Amino acid sequence: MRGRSRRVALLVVLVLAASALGLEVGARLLGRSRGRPFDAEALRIEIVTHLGAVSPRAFIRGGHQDQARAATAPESVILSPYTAWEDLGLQARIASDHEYYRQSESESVFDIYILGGSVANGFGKIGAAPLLARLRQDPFFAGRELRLHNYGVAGFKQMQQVMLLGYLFDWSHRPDAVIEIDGFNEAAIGAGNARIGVHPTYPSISHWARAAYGLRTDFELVRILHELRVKQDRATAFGSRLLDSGLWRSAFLGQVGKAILVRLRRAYVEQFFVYQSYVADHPMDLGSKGPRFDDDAEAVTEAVVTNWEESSVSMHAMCAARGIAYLHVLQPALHDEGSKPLTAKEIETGGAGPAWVDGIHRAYPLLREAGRRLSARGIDFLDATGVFKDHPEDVYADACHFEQHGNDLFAAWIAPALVAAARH
Amino acid sequence: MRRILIALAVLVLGALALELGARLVDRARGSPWDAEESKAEVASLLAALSAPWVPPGAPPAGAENDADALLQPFTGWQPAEVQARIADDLDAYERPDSSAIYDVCLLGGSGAAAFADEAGQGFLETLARDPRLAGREIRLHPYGIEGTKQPQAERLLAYLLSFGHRPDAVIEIDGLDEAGIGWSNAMQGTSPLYPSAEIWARLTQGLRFDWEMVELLHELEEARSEAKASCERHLRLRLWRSCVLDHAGSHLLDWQLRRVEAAEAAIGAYVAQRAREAELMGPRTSTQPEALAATIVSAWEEASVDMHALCESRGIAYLHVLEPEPVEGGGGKPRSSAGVELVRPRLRDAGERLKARGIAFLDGDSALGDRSAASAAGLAEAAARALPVR
Repeated sequence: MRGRSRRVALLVVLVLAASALGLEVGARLLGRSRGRPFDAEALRIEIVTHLGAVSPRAFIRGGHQDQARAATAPESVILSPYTAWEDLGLQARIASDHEYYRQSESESVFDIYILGGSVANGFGKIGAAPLLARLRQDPFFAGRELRLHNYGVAGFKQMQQVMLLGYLFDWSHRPDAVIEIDGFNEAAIGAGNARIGVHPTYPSISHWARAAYGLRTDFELVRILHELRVKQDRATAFGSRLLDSGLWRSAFLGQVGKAILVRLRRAYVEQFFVYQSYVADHPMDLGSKGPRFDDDAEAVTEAVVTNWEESSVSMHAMCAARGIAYLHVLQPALHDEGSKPLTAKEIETGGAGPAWVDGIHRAYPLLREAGRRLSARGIDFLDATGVFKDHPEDVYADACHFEQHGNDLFAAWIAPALVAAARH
Repeated sequence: MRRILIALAVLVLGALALELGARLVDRARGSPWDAEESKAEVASLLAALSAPWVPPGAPPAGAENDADALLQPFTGWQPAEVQARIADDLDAYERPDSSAIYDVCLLGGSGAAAFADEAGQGFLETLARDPRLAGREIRLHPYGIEGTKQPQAERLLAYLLSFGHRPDAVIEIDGLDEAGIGWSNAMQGTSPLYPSAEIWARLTQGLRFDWEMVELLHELEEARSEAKASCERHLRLRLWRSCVLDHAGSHLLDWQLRRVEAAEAAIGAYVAQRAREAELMGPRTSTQPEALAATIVSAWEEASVDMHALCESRGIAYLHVLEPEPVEGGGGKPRSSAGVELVRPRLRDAGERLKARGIAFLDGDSALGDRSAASAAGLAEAAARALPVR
């Protein structure tokens, strides 16, 4: 009886070993027949890569992370009570400029503020030198030091610039001139906002939602984050065990292990999407859509243009009350038809969503008209939409941004207009 | 077989003895075991663990909350009712008959809100007697928002105008909250130019997540889930019917609840010590009393200059009223503080500078003169007279 049991046990072991060997050999032959012979080291690297992708815990912001990021990534977005959001570096700039204006040195300097979105911010960086060089050639600025303060913030659109300007004045900032560069975000983002039910004059909802996400603790978010962490830990623990066990040296077991790791990673990623959707939708409950509005395309365009024009009237009034020169520049846009002969490269890289393109097509002609009304009110307005009209070469980097060459051309248009505004 | 029976009998007898002994011990200790009471306790614990977890710092039930306040991109926040009214008012301004109506937009914080409630009607009646408005309907748009301060009113005006509102006159009533809240903000490490730190923090921080926080919440959720599962098991298996098993289960629950408490305490300690967030502080500013007072006054003055400029550029009449100090027994909330005492006289001086710039400014205290009680009606009359109707 015992002898028979032993034989059965031995047979089972032999069958199992043969099966394992068969699976291993089969897996290797299958791989080879598919043109991908088994490579243990390559499999190990694949597992390490999956593990590496699942391990980092860097997707949640706030608290210490914001504080730490202020030094390394000052452009990171935080919530602001008056402009919806701002970048981390803005607060420091406001405070240091506040101190600057308290010093007598500032009185002899001609201070120029640039406001607007990312194009204005880019101009404040790489357009500053060509602009200042041109201004220095003008007798009006002879003997005066010129200083440019870049208050362009990526993603900003009116009314954010009005609010920021008011805030800077509240902080006793006293520039000599303000250049407002806008148009693209107002038209494109305004239309994009409206398309998803957000008031077109409200700030870019994607930026605002990002700045506001994670606000208010609710039990559902705690549960989602808990589940996220559980799934992440499960995938990380399995991947680490797989690497430590050395099973990746087996074509069959290594592949099975990798498949399980991939499934665990997918579960983690799916939970991450749940988290992302939750935080993206969450601020929508906080009134971020703004007041009700007519979502007919014409009504949306009218709201965009009215807001843009009224905001400029406000900025001009606030500057005029303090004797500050104000220049409003309507920026060029790649999708503003007929504004530039586009190159193949610009067409390839200048794509934008249909709502944005439609917003530009509808709003730009009306912005130009509104600009003429601003001029008629005595506001220094520069229609720079044709600045690249005679430039068939590559200028745009995408639908609205341009690099050094474009900024040089832009500065050449802005400089004389600013001189004229300053002389008024 | 007999051995098995004996073993079973011993086990049963032992269990009975244990059960009896446990009940006797409880009785001897003066707290006789009560199965129903024990069941109710576990059920109540289960209900508590099943309810949403309340984070540290959350307002207690019944306390003031901001459930009605919406985050607003340009003014920090606003009541949901105001957001709806902004759209309604835009419709009203766009109606053809709007030009025949004299629209007055009232802005400010709690002082403006109280003015609208207590003296709005009297103000309209006084204004209606102005011959320049003879025969015109007068409409008051009360946009005073309790708990707000400058520059929130200035931002709200810029927002309303960019939005398309076209009042004929704007009255800004402020001065007390700017001094009181601005000062209190600075003392709490928040910019005096930011909205009320108390409300802004309630609306924005709550319990903001970072990774350390997620780790702590994870531990809490684990501990709560474990304790909840024990409660459910306790009730499902009816352990509460046996004194011994109930005690054993309760000990396990106690141990698990200590883990929950430790996790909650860790979260509380972390929230208390972690770095304040940049968005709650605003730009750095001096808290030295003189410098702080100067910052508050300057911002208040600049905000009025802006409001006047915004109105002037559109042909809108503008009146800035420095709200009078509430008189004891006069119905208003006394808001005296070190900040108010230091800042208020300077606001009066700044008001004189505003006047010198051609801005219509009314010092509420001077307008009311020597008074024994705060007089909303008196202020309404003074404001109606001072409004530079066009």
